[in-house]
Amino acid sequence: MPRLNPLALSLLLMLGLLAGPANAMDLGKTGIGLNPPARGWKLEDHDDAALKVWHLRADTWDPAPKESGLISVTVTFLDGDPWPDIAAMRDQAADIVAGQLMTAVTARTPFELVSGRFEIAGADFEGGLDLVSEGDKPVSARLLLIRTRSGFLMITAFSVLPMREKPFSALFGETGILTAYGPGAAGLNGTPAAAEASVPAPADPAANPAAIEDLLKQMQQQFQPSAETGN
Amino acid sequence: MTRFATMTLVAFAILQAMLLSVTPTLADYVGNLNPNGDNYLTLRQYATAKSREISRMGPGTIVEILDADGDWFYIQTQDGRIGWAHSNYILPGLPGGNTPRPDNAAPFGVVNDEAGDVPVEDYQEPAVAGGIASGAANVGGVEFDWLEGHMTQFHDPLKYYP
Repeated sequence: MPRLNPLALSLLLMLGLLAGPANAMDLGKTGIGLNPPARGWKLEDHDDAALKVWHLRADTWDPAPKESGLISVTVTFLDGDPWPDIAAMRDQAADIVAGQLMTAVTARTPFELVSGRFEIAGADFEGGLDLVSEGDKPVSARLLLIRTRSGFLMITAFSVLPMREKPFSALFGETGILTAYGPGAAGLNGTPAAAEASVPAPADPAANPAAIEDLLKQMQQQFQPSAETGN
Repeated sequence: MTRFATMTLVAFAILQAMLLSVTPTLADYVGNLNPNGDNYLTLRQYATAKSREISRMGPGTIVEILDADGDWFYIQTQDGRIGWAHSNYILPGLPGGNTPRPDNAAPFGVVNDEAGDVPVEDYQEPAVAGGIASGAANVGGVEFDWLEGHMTQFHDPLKYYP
């Protein structure tokens, strides 16, 4: 049996601790966990009787953070689910993202899908953030409303990378800021590299309705559960 | 013949009364609030003031009464929130007019923390009978009147910039 150098073992343990999430937490019984990065991010949380909010933001936006350019991730968690029409809620939330949180939105792609226990309505955006003194900073944004059987989540994520550069590949996944578990988890966690690679180069969807359909299909494929889960 | 007509009329009246009694209507609203106080009505999980707070409803919020238990009504708002609220502040009919809203009032449907230190968002008109009041985004006749305040307060990526 090979002997392990104690120094190497210590280094490996330290690296493992540093690489792992700071304090992963389950969001109720939704089947989704939040893994705030151990370094390079700040975390603010708001705890209320009816909802909880976690707002994560990268320490620095330039150069882009290691996590695929993600600069801000906000999660609202409600342990109830009083809204029957998730798509209508998505549409209104998308209006707010495009109209109030972003500037100069050039692309907005809504999508809906069901993956196991997760019912998802979302939208992707390309536009900018108004940094006032520094002008508009181009960003991509993703809005997700996720209904589970045990709670409701609204997630917004912003990345400094454009859509063609996989801006949200580190949002969900086993090593992502969020991780889904259980039936349908693969639909959310996906296989980031393959899924994001399927997103085409940004075009002007308004100029070509077929492009919208294609983009939507590819977005949905990104969330399709894999055959391995049997969902 | 006269007896037949009388019986027909009675039967019709009984039928109409039954229909009216079972048909749900959105004909009640939040009112009677103290405009100098918090000026909202709390929607709770159970029929007790100690129960978990689901949401807060501003004056003029239109509700449907689904059930009652003592002084408490089990209600549903137009945007689908369901819970218990004290009957003192649920008035029959529709709001007669726009009640001036004090600056310190909570936005409709937004759940503030107990300290009440959440910034007040822009006032949005309450929903009116048969439709949605203008001024707030709505889709397909559904309005999530708490959403704008919540998202601009918590989901803004520039919240702490720089």
